[in-house]
Amino acid sequence: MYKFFMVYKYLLNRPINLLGVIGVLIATWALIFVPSIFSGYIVQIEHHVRNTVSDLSLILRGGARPLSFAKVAKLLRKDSDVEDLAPRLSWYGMLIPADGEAETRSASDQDFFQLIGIDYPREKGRFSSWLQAVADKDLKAPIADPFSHGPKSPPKILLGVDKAKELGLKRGDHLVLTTGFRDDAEADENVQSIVIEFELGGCFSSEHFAFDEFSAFVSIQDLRKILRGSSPPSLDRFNEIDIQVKNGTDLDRVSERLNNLLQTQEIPGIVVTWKKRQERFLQSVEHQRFLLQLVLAALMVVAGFLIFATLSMMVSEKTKDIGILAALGATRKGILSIFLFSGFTVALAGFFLGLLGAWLSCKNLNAVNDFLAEHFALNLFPKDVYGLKLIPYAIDPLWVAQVGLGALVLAGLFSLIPAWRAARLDPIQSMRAE
Amino acid sequence: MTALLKAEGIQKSYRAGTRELPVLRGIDLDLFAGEIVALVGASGAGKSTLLHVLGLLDRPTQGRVFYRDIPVSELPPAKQARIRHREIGFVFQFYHLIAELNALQNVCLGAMMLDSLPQYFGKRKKIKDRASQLLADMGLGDRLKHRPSQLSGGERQRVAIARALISDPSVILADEPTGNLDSHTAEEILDLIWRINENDGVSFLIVTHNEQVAARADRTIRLRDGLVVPPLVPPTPSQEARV
Amino acid sequence: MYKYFLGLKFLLSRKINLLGMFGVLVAVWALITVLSIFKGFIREVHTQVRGAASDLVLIGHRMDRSYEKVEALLQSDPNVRALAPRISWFGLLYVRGGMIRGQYVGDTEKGSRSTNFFRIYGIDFAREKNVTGITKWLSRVPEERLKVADPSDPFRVLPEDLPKEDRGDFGQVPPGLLMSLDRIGNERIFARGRALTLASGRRIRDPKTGKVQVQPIKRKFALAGAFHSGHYDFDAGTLLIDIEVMRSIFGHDPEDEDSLDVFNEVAIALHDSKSAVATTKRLNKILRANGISGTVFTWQQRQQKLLQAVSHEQGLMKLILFVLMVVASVLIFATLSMMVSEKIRDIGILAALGATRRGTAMIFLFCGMTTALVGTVLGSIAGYFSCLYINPVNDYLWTHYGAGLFPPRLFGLEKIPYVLEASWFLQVALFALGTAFVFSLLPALRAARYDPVKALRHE
Repeated sequence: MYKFFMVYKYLLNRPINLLGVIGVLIATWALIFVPSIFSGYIVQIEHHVRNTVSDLSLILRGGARPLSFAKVAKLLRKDSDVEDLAPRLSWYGMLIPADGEAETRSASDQDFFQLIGIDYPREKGRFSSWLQAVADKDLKAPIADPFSHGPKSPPKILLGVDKAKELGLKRGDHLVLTTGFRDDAEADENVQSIVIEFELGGCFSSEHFAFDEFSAFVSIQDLRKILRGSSPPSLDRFNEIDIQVKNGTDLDRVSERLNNLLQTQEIPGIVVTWKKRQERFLQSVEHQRFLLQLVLAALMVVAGFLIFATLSMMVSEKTKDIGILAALGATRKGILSIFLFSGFTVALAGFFLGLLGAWLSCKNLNAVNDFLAEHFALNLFPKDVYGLKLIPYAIDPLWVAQVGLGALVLAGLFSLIPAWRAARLDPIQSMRAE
Repeated sequence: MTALLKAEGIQKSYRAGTRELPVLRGIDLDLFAGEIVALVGASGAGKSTLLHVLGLLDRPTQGRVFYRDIPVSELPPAKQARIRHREIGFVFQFYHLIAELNALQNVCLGAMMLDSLPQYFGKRKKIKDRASQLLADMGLGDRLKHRPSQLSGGERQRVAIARALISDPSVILADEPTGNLDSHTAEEILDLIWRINENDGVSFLIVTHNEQVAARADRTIRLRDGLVVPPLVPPTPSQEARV
Repeated sequence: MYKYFLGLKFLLSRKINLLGMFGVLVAVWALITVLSIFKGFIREVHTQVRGAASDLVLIGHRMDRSYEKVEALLQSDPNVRALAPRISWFGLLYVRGGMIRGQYVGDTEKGSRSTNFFRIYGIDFAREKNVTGITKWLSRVPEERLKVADPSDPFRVLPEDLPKEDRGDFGQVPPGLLMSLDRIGNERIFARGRALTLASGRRIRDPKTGKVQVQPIKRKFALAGAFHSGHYDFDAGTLLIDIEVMRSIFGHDPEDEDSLDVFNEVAIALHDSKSAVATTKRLNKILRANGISGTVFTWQQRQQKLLQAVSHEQGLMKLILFVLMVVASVLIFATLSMMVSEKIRDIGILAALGATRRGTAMIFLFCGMTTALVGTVLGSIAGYFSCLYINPVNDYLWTHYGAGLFPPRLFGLEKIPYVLEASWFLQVALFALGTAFVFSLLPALRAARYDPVKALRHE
């Protein structure tokens, strides 16, 4: 056994082993770094896109006669997978300057909003995180009850934080919107146009820029009152329902079932999954994903080559040593196991170093980006998008394990095969071999 | 009469770990045009080292090398390379041919090492013809396209000698040229060397541990422990350097 | 020169160099294919977003009657090619007949909307067609029943298209309204001539209280046809009517000369769109100097967030491909180092033959660069053909296996877009060779610096 140890020590002292480590290191670093930053980005977009809608949404056909939420909710609850329902009244409004002057302060369509009336206590769970995301204390909304207002004061409205900043508004400022609605579904004579004064109750941030820019939240009760017209005051009107389903349910199946349910009662609406609703955004994500797969495939091939090259270099250097080892008394099996072991050790060392390198690269990407922006005016990653402060990364442990396994298997293969071939040779021959 | 190649007070030490190992301790040596000198000594005496220093492949720790009175050991490496290319030829014990080139290409390499693109195209035909001629003279006319791995030891050495000759050097430094050959082939090679010396007037400095080779040479220089051993017998008229 | 011959011989004798070449091949192939497809995506986004916009737009102008004056000021800039006034407002759209279901919202799942609120643009078609691609928007409508009757006068409604009860006694027709294809979806009730009611509001100041109020107004319209600009966000929420009609909605007498000047937006077309930003600066200065309200923006400024998101992705993509190139170059480094190690004795031989250090380095550098060059050329060819065949391959996979590389009708397109630019091929080639050069230097220098004596002694 001492022989083995001695021999092993001898082998380990050779600097050529460094090359093998470097090969595996670079391969590992690239294979972990690349998908981590890309996935981080994609995951973040998907998260944002996912977060602005619920699992399923019931959308009433526009212009339909106002329906009672309680009645429709009762119907939907018949399905066992439905867990929670929240009514929404989604409308539109145009911002008008209170005194007739219109000065543009921003480039985007500053005057149109989607007014979303929500039932805050029901949606608090998800919504409150959007409120908490606002740091500016002049714009922060009270989380407990952002919509409460006195009977004489105007109803509260919540705007996207960037939008409020663009308009130069602070909590407590007033703004005026105009909208219209048809009072009675039967006769289209009765169209009302109204002007509503709101008080900015605070801001929200969902981090999905397309959503934040055009959405404004009000309390559904306030909106119902505003749009009531001649409908009965107690009508719990809605035109959208956020449907939460039990964990792990197949959304497509549930939406199909619910649509059938609606048809039986002749309710003019449609249930869509979040994916269908956000299809436009998700399509570009799909597109990017494919491109990433392509890059990853190329990367794996090249990295595989690299591991092969460096390891076989390592092994060929050592081939001469086989003769020496044999002269020292090592058996063929012993020689092979030494090579295998050294191959694994090199792979392991390279893998962990590469993992460390990848992690450091991800973390410091922001610093590098800032540095490049400052000194070279090279804005590789404009950070103002989505209010992204950091370049996101997501290191998937499963993927890391796969890379590690792959590296070990390849290292083992590439050190074993040539070693096995060399071990078949006469020791004298291998000593003479170039 | 000035020496073709002259060594003055050559010292060379090697570093092994932290220690200094002196190999050459102060060598003075002259090589004259047209002569064949044998450099003998036990292994480890520093023969090859001296050869490398004389051939400008290695720098002496102290002392100078002169080629036609020019202190070449002090020249910048690029100029030394030129001199090495044009004036000095090498022949080694293990032939040292480029495995990927055939015999003809190996010989041509000796002449075209430093040529740029336009020069290459200008001289190509001439050099190829000369290389073919040289190889033919050595009986390798039908082996021009053979790779070293397809040639015998003797044939390889002849290719190496042809390579050394192609740039018309004035001196060829040979390090144990027959060390790897059987006695019969060795004889042939030595005959070849002597023939070249006679026909073309090329000087040879042959490192050898073979006393018979030394006997054939015009002069013998002995090395022991890094120093030249002074000759016991004064040179006879037949051993004097030819002008 | 013989050096290069030697370098080539070295290269060809070692199969490991093939590996280095393949590494570069794969990397270059990926760079070209991925980025060409990505650029296709970017171009598509730009085209779609740009499709609905004019070069510049003046927005936020207080609705008043000063168009003639503003037009003169804007026209004074040499880069301004054409102008078109607009009135941007809101409205609610109702299908006449008051169906209980009131189904005039698009039926497609993703187009479902729960309200009938629209942004309405009153446009002057004769001028508008010089600043946007509105003519194209109209011609893109495939269905006969939705095409405008008269492409040179899109708001014109033909009496024959109207149901009898909507035709006036003297052949009068209601004013025409254009709706987007996206919004119409596959609703059968929409056809040219369909009666519609637009409800909006007119902003007035109560003379007694001084407070702003909105007076409701209703107008009858007929669907004159459909349009499709390609930019979903614009199309889905926009209706187009004639600016004169819009002005009358606001109570301006069409007989009144001054009323022709009512506007609150101006679309601007430029001669040279590259200097758009400089032009906006100039125009804004002129407007400010003359006390005109509103600001001029470029279309990119209006779509800033979206464009930034796209360029963010592009940065990411480039970074990733850089990493790929680095790995391929390290592979060259490794294979070249390997070769150098195997050729140490040859280095000694070359030195003995009179090679300079630089010369020896050049031989190995040449090896590395040749490997990279061959890999680059082959990779470029592979990348080129990959793009060319990506659509046939994708289609094949979908028809035969029900699953493919890309989702079908991505972005509403028939084919996966890609952009092949010669300049890009050149950039990639230079990049690949440059990185290969850097990574080949080290082994080449190592070869050059090897002590010839030691080299000759090497096993």
